[in-house]
Amino acid sequence: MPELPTAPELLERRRRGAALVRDDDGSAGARVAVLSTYNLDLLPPFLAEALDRHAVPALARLTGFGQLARLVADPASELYEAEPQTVLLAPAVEDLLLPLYEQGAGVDGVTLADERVDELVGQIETLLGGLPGATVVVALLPARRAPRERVLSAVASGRGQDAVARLEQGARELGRLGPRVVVIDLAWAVREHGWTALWDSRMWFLGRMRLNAAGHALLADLVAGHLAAARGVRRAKVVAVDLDDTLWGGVVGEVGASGIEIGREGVGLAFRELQRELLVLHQGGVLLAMCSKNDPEYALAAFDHPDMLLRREDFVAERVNWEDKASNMRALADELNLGLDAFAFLDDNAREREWIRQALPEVMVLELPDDPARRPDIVARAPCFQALTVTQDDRHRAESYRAQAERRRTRGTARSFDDYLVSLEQRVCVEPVVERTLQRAVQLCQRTNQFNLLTRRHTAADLERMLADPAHDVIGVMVADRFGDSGMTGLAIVARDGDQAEIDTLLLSCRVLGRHVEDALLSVVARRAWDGGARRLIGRYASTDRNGQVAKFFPDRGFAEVSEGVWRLDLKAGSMPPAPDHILIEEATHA
Amino acid sequence: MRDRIRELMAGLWGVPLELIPPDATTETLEGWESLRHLELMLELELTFGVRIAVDEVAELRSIDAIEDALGAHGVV
Repeated sequence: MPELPTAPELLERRRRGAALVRDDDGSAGARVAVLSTYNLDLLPPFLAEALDRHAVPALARLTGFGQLARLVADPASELYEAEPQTVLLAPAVEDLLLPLYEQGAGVDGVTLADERVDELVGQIETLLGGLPGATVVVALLPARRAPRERVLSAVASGRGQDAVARLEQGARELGRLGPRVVVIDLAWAVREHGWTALWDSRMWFLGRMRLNAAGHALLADLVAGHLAAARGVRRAKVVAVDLDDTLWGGVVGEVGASGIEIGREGVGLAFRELQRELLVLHQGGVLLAMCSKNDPEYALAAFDHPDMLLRREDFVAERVNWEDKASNMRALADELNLGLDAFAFLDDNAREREWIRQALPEVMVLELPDDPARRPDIVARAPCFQALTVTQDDRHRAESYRAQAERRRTRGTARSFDDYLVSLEQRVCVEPVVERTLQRAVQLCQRTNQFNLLTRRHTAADLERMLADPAHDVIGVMVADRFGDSGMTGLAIVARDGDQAEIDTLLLSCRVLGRHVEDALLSVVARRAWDGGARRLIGRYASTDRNGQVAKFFPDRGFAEVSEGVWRLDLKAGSMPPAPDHILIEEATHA
Repeated sequence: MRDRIRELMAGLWGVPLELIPPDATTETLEGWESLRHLELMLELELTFGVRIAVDEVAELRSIDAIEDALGAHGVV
């Protein structure tokens, strides 16, 4: 349901629409004929503006207030002469049931309603026959008041509301008359906004108008929206979705998968309901794709959160990297073999939205408010997702796209992720921790939760003791790439005892995860142990509620389990843990 | 204020400002008929945030009268 425009928006829409109507030299596309039982003479500018905004090339020109029946019935009337492509048939319940309002008792309301529906059927069939190719849009204005409202009992015989309901239901059924009949459920729209917001008694008494300015704008918006949906204009087949602060609250790279806001109350619920709306779209045939600036492995871990409604499999394609989003949108279009004009873009970041608007004007960018509580409605009601119907085909579409994309992805994105890693030009600089870097090393011990094998919370005193002990190797890891230098973002502590070296601490800050820095670090740790005379490397893993992602760190790298949580790697010349090709390792002996 | 009203009328009806004389009335200005009048009243309300009563609508048939009424509604 469209939101009601504010006063300045109303003025602007009417002004733009009036200019469109004035500038019409007859060349601009199709005509919409407006046939109503009440005065809609103020509608044309609003309708022209709404049609333009919804990218439906048509103009409203002819209005036939009060002449609906004659214009339809007379084959020589100006209606048929004008050959409109669209006819807006806009009766009002209170006009059609006038005898019931005026006479009350003595009129059988339900019978009267049925007769009126039959008349509408006849009129629509006449229009369809007289205007081959034209679409008839039916918008029955619901009743502001029911006949005989003073009768309170809901089961009173001859209650006015019964006739109103009968007529409104009959009007909805008119949509079954064929594919060229589009029925707007205006009663539903009015129910949302309320008559107080749409009615102005002065306009009724002065001009027989049953809607105020906002009401005219709403009707125009609904007509244009239905026509756009019927013609498939500016409809999104795919919605590209940002992750952090869009699908969930918080930056997963900073707070970790368990720290994001998603859940069953408060702001977490707002994010969950946004996900629900996306899931409904997905089930109705709109494809979902990820488009996020993130470390992929880290961001995707958020999908393991138990309150997450969307699963990773619900997305047909993923672009989770540090490339700019316009490039990623183009890549998504290539991968899915769709035009960019089939894409909607959902992102909480106004700068990203503006960038996409400028770089890819054909993409439909949804304007998301800063307040997450307002976002589910925006997604649920965005015109670009609206369709007249949802078919069985629509429901299966996502599945077939997904299977196709899955095959491509295993080929395509695996390679591009490696390319991405290479393109980062990473340098890992390893140097022993000294007095100057001690505080940062302590901080890493205290704060690192996710990539931390033993989570030993060493204090400054602990580390000072280890630095003084030649059996302990305490090394800090600096990571830099072409985007900048992350400073000390990793730490390893190894205790040597004869030909055995045991890893006391191995941790990385979340900022550098997902780029194989850990393998670079392990290769350095192993080589330094070897240089110190060790021939066996012992690693331990202690599970916490945060460090599940490193549970398989040792077995994935060829360590053998000695006992529960204790792993051993025999060091041999020529088969040491390898350093990743794409990372340049620099080793300082001392700072 | 008079010029603001004239500009508003010219913009609303899509005519040059000089076609709206400062002393225009519904009698003297061609095209200022009932539908256009109602449209003008709505435009005044939306623009100035005032509410014009139903009997006032019938009285505001000149730029003079509109200016006075807006003044009475506190628009300066």
